Amino acid sequence: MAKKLKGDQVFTGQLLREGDVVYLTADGSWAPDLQNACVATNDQEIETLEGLANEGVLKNLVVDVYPFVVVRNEAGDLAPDHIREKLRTAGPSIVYS
Amino acid sequence: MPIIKDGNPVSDDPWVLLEEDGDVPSSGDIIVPLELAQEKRERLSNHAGRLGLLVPNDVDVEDYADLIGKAELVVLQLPAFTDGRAYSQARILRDVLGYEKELRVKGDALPDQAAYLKRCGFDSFDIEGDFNADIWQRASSHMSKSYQRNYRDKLAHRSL
Amino acid sequence: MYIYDDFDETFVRERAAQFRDQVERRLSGELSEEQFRPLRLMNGVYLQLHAYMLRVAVPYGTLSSKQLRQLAMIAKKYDKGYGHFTTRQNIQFNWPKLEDLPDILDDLADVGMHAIQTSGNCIRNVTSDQWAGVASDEVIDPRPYAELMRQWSSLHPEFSYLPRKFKIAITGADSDRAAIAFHDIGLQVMKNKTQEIGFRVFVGGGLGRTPMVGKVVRDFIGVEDLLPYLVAILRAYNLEGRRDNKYKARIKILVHEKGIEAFQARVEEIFEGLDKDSLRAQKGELERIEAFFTLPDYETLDDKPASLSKERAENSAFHAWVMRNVARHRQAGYAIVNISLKPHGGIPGDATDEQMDLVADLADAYSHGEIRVTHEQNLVLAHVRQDQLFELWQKLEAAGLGTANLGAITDMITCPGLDFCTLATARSIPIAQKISNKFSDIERQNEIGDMKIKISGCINACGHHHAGHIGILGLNKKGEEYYQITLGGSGAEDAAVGEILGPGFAADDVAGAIDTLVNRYIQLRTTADERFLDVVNRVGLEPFKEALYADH
Repeated sequence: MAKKLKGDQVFTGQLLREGDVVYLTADGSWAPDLQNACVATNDQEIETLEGLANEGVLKNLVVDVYPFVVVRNEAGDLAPDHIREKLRTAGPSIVYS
Repeated sequence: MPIIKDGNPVSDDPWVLLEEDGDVPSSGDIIVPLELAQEKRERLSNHAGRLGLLVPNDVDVEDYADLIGKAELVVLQLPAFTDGRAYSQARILRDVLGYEKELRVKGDALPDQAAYLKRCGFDSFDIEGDFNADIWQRASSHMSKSYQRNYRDKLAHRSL
Repeated sequence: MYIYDDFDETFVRERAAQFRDQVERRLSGELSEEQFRPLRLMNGVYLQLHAYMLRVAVPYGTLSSKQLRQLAMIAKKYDKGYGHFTTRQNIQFNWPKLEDLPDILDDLADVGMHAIQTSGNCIRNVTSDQWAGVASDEVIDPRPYAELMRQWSSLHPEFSYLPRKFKIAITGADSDRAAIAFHDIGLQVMKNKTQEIGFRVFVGGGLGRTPMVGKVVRDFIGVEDLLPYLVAILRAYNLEGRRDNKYKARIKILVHEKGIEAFQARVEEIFEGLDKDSLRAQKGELERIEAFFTLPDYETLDDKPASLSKERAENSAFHAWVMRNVARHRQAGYAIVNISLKPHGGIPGDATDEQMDLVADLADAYSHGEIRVTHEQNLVLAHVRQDQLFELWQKLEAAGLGTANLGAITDMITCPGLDFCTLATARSIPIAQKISNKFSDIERQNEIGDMKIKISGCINACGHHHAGHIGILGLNKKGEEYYQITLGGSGAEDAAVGEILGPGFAADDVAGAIDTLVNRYIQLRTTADERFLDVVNRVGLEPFKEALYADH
């Protein structure tokens, strides 16, 4: 699945205990901020990250792990490309509670 | 996992499952796939040993009432733990056909499902994965009550 | 309302303890996510876009004030201070932590509540008419049968691993407020020619990607055969329903592919073979349940008291609210109060913990401590004295709960959509908010009259768009959200599936398109009483298509 996506990729998942959305960093830990995510730019890097991500699953740290495409916005920050990931990263687009 | 009966592993289960297209031995306790059992009906009528039936989960068990009536063991199947057809087949065997011998479930089930399976009439389990007596015991004994009547009712049921 | 006895209490406590054990096994790694998923789903726990979500069962939509206060407490303690009432008369919490869920379930058990079978491929929470017992058009109170089915379906050993989820709705009134034709099984409680009580049974209705109106499978089944007959239907479905494709696994597909006659024959065949006595409720059980559903001790009061007329004459906002939100009660001097959870520009179905606490207090003060949840995501106080309506309204109004829009264009059913849901393809709530803001003028809403807009954020149709007079379906095309509009659907006794009008609209253009449709309707209607739906049924889609697409 990972290789079919076109573009730079990061891996995301949700913390098993809390359910919070997190992103895979270079050292295999999981961070709440997309900006700390490790970006894979080629197949080999994607494979490496996928291995790290699956370790997180096996250690029961995270669940529902998958990659998605990111781009750099004008400010140079990482930003999701797809509407679903945009909303997932930014939180609900409405004022709730 | 070994065969589980009454919450314990059975070390000396005598039953041998035959291949779909295999030979039928002349003696021993054998589990015969339903189709083979129909094919070899005559041969099996002289079998020296007990007869079990392996029933696919997409057949109407009422169509095989005569074969089932002769069996000492019926094995129903769970190809995936989410596939609940065997639960209904079990109830038909027990409640409609009046089958009273051993009813075994084979396939993919979680310990958490054992209580449901028992309540539908299963009494032995041939399921995948490792057996952990403690988990099995815990997972299958949480509920002391049920709202439905159960096979050979041991749970306290109320209304239904 | 039904009160738990020791049996029910033990049952729910043990189930909560069982789930605590399952959560512990998951957190310790004993269970994999794949193994845990169906277990958590059987207990109403989803993993959504941003967090876990817990769906709590509100059986047939009935809550006590004590229960509602506990829901408020849970919202405050474990969530972000609010809850979301759903189209299945349940409540969802959008932000709980998995590690807190066992404690939440214990807190729920303290007030006789649980999350049993609010998801998973099992028999879901039975839903009913929110005005049950008090509606002026009711023939038989459906609640005792709903409670009987709640018990019967709870952890049913045979029907917990069905091909797909299974929803039962029941009504006892002429007007169908429970959308029974869009359920896997719909039941209409009725009396036959000999005045015997029983049920007309509909089967195979549903929304989702293949919307279908339920068909009658039995014209009449007597009360004592209800459970055996349900077993026959469920058994036919469990054995023969498709398991090869989850989108074709609902009973509606089985009924459709087999044909209603063949399905009916199969059900009757199974029914005939059943040992019915072993499946019936045991003697006295229904009577025991019925005793909980006697009506409160109403006082003898004047209907339409002079004080009420005076208050209505003096306060136009109150008058507008009475016109829209207050319904006729079977008892003289009493009224059914509908509390709108659709404030203009708000999130349909959401209530804060403070609002829940307030409604609980108001229920105690004005409505025998009972609250109902509606499938249209509103709340009901079912036993309010007419001479106390003004006082009650003032308190609701002060808390933002006095919106006078029940059944009006801004009273929309809306699914959580892509703001919360992992399955969604587009957002729903912002669309509802834009429409709500556009039509916020109460006079205009009243001019438009009865109108049901229903919005779903994907083809799974949780927002019932197929059943909307105007349905809105959010889709995604090349990364952009867009919205398809359907007309002519209905979830009531005239159940129908809406038809697609034409090409979809961008998010910013939907409210404008609705405005165009409404303006065209007002031109086309012959009397002020002719509803939008009536006009669509009379003139068809063409005039609306012309209005909407003429410029394109």
